[in-house]
Amino acid sequence: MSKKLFRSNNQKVLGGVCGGVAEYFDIDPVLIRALFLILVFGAGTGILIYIIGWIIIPQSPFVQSVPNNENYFKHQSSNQDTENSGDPNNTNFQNVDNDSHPSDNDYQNVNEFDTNNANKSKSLQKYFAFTIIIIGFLILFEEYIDWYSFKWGFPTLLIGIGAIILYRSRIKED
Amino acid sequence: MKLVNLFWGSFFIFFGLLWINNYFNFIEISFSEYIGIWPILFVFIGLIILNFSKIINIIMTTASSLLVAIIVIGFFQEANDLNININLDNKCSPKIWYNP
Repeated sequence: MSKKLFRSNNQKVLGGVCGGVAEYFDIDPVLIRALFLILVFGAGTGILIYIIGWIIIPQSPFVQSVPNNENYFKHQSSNQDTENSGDPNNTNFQNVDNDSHPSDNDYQNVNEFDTNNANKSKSLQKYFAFTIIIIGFLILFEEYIDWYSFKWGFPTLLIGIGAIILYRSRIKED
Repeated sequence: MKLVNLFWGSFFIFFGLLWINNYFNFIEISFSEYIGIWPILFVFIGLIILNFSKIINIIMTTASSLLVAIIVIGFFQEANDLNININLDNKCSPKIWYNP
């Protein structure tokens, strides 16, 4: 669980709560803002949830999002001032050819890194999406189906969430 | 096409159409009864996040814009009904309210 939830500095309208949630789940922040707006006008709880999030969630320490392909920028800078550098930063790149573009190896590494991250965030996206869909159906059933009420729905939802958490933690221990 | 642009474009079209319908009553529906279906928007957004295919995303965006338009018109109609009820309760004719 290296990933942590922060209030975003980049995707920020009010407090950056929606942007932070969007960065955590790797979703378009517009969709999260739309969800909050729906909650505000539909259930009336959106403002409360947002304020609680604003208080609870710490601000992100990162000012700007770090680009994934750091090596690319390092290469460029090393190519530019290999001549006059006494910098200790550049000593790592002395073996690199001066005329080379960022080599294919770097791109491959970057791609592997990206795909690993993408798989994780895709599973997170799926969890988030399914949770939203289930919650939507629960509220809808509450309104339109007589024999059903939150008395049944939310406990089962909680059981499901608990089961998912246990399952994921079991995978990580193995 | 960006989904946000699609949403706003189709939202204004639907909203305008429903507004015109409000004057001419081509279809006689009181949209205020349909405010309760807002949780379907959650389902639509979930499906958009799941990102099955481009066509489903477009359909979901258009449907959600239609739904939002219906809900907003429903809110307006409900407020309107409320106004008239208040007037009736106060035994005031609407003419006095609207053209003093």
